[in-house]
Amino acid sequence: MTDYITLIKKKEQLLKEQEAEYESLLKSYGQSCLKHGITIPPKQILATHISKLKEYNELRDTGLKLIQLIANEKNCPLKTIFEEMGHQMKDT
Amino acid sequence: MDETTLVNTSPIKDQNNLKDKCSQVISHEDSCKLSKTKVCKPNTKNTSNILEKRLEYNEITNNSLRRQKDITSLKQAIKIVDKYDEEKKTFDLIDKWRDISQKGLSYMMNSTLLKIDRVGGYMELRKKELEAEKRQIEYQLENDLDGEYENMIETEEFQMLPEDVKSEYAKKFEHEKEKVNSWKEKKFSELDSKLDSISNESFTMEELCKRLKVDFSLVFQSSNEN
Repeated sequence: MTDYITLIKKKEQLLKEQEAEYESLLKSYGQSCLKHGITIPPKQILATHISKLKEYNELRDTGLKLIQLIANEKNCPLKTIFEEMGHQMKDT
Repeated sequence: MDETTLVNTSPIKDQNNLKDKCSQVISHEDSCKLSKTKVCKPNTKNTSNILEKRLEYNEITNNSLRRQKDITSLKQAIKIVDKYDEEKKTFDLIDKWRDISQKGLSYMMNSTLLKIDRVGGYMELRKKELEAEKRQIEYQLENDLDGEYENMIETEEFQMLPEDVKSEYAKKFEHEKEKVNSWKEKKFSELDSKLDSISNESFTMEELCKRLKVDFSLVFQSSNEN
């Protein structure tokens, strides 16, 4: 019984600390958002970040696949196709 | 008084003592039983208290874990916002690769349309494709079934079998063949109806994407959402 009471007290203390950390992080998030003119809640910004990375990867795979097909058809190097399309091979 | 009485060990007295002792023991046992039943009640209270505390502890732990998760995601969000230029780079790269994909698909569309024209038009191409599909089905089915039967006939074990068993196998094979033929006819009629339905269709970008295994919505529609 006393074990539980001490454990609960410890957890309550931890929760208090976590709440304080969360509040201060929330403040610094707000400040960072103000700097960049962002008005998106943190969870949404994370979701957007992940979905954009996924979209980038998928589009890159698709683009490379198509360029490879065209290069095979034209029998020329990939670089030439990139140049014809007005893009660089490397992502800078 | 004899000596024994003096020392309080006379048999009569001893008997009395024994009785007393017995009654004491019995009463002690009774009291123990009573005390056991009496102790039971505070014990249940105690366990219910422990249970309550355990539930309270679990709830606080869950809240703490949830908060920790929030903290972690908030930290990640701050990192993303602090490096927002990198995020903008990703957006630019998405635009770059979408443009490349669209241009690539346009090129492939033109080149495919030229090939289709050379074949005699889209309808002709589909006809040829469906006929090829039919031929493939026919070839595969005949090869699979006939080959299996022929291999079985050639085995020594089969040769050793009595004639009636052999004819039983032949019957089974014929039955299987009939089944396969009816499936094949069904499949062929499906392909024919497909051919009828595409008579008014033309080759579209969606179909090109399907053939190239490219996600059409990723390349074209997502750009409108941004």
